Amino acid sequence: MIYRFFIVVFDIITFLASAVGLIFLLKGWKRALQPKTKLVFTGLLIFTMCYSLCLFVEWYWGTKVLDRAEDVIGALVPMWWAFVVYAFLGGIVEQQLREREGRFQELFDKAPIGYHELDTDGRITRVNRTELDMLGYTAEEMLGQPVWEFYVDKEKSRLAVESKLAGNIPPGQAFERMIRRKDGDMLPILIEDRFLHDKAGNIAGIRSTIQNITKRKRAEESLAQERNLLRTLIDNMPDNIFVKDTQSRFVIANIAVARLMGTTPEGLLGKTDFDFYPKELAAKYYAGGQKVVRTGKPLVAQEEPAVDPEGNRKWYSTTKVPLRGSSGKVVGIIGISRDLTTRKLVEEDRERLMRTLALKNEELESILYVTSHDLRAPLVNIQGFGNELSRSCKLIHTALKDTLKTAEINEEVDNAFNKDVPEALGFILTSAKRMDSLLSGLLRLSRLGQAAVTIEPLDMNEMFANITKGMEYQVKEAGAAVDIRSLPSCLGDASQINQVFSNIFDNALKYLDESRPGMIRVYAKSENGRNIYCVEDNGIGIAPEHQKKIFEVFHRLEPDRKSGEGLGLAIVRHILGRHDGKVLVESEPGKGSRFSVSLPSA
Amino acid sequence: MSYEIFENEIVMLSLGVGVLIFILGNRSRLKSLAASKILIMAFYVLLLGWTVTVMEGLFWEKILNYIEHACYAVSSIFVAVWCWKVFGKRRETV
Repeated sequence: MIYRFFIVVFDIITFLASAVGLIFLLKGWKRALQPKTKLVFTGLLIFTMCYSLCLFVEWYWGTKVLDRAEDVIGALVPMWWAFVVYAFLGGIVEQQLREREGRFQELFDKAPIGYHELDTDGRITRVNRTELDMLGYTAEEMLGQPVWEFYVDKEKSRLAVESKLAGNIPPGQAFERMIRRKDGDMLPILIEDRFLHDKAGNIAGIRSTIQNITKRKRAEESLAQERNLLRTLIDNMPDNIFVKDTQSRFVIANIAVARLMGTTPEGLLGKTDFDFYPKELAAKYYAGGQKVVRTGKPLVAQEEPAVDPEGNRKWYSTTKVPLRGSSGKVVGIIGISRDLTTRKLVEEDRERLMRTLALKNEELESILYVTSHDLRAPLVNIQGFGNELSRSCKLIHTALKDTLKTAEINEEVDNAFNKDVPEALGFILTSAKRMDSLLSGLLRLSRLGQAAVTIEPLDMNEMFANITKGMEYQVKEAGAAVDIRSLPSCLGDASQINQVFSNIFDNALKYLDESRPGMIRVYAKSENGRNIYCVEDNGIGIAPEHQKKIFEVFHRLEPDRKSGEGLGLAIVRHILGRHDGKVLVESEPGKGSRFSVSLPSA
Repeated sequence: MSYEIFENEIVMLSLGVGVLIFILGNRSRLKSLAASKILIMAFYVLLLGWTVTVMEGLFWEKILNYIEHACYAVSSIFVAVWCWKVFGKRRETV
């Protein structure tokens, strides 16, 4: 009895569980699975319920009435399980296909480029979302329309589409077209086509990809503008500008380069210097360019010779820098060269003139030295024999005084020997002495030009102390007061700079005003790496018309009153010229003068 | 001791084994089915019931008969649970 009870309970549970499952299935019919699969599964549940019902009847009532039905349904249950599994698998495959199709559709619609398909009449049969968004139309507005209706140049597009469909234009070529958006804006696009074929291999339509190339077009226009600007700049530069590849072939060249080589910028492309210049010159240019390519280091402002188409020799200052690719590797050279021919010619002229000048100077100094030195010998003779002649005259006069009888003759001879001859001899000797003095001055000046200059730091305080000490007598004689401030050191030759300030100091003493106590002040200031030493006096001053002349040779302010050869300030200027120095005079007649000497600081 | 094996039970087991082979052959694809483990488990339990019903003709008739009916009940419960999981809950896809 218990045995049967449990079996019946199990059968009831089987029945009820299947019934519950069936209820869930029916209630959630729309939620999952394909209808076909659900029908099959419903059958399985019903068969299971029927089978459990048969078992219940058999075991509850102990009857074999439903045995036959039990056998049939019992066999149907595993069979139905096979159908269920099969249906599930079919549903899974279908689901996978649907998902794949969905993914394809998504890929088609959300592709970054526009897609559309045309039939053999050129009408749009399919269009993706990207293209619709790009053009602003709805699918309904585009589907079925001839594709050329959307292009700006409709006729040209129609002919192109028809030619393609007729097989006259091979597929795979890209075309640029202007397409009109729904809002009227025009859009530059790039179209690429592929043929669609039917099973027989005939052309069944076209599948086109469309890319919006507005940004690319703008970039191209901008690039073209920049290129044009650059080209204009390069071509209008007076300098030669060129770009060469690693084999030194011209890649870019401006008009100046082309003009130099007697061709056009286009005519230079792909050619080398060997096509235009003599072999030796071209080899030199080639070597320079290859050095830049090899080392990656620029050659800056290298002066190079060149020859223009007329065969004229020219000079250029050329800078060659390496041109690097995006990887940093040298892919060529950029060269800029400037015509130096005029400058070179001027420099050559200047050098030639300087050489001539130096030779003339040497010649002049030599003449000066020889003249001043060699003229002294006859001068000494004139002086010596002049004196001798004077003595001889006196002797002749004494002798004749007693010999000549007549008073008239005696008076004439007396006048000649006592007045005329001594006076003439006096003039001759004075002139000879003066000439000797001048020749000594000239000799000194010429020797100064030949003397070596030893530049060294100079203690100017010590130098002025020695100068004033050496002129102590003259200072006392002139009754002058001397005020020397602290002086900075400078660079120069000790002996020659001493000569400079001695001459200036001597002049200051010499030209003091006798009507007032003399005062000489020496001070200095430093500016821009130079020292300016000032020697200031309260003397008679220099008239403006004389201020420029006082540095000339043999120029003297008061030749009758003051001694000297007029060489002091000429020597000053000459010495300072050899020391990178300068001398300047500021003066006011009746008030005094100031001589400023500029020398490099120590 | 008498052996009583019914033909219909042999047919059920044979068909069940055939279905088992089919399931095992497509096991990886069936995994994409929602709560597939429960449904497959229901089938395995059912197959056990069919096996047991054949064996009860050979030995332990009463115990194996219990197990047979219990297997049917458990299998039905698994199927009900699967139906609840698939159709009772809000799901859009399987």
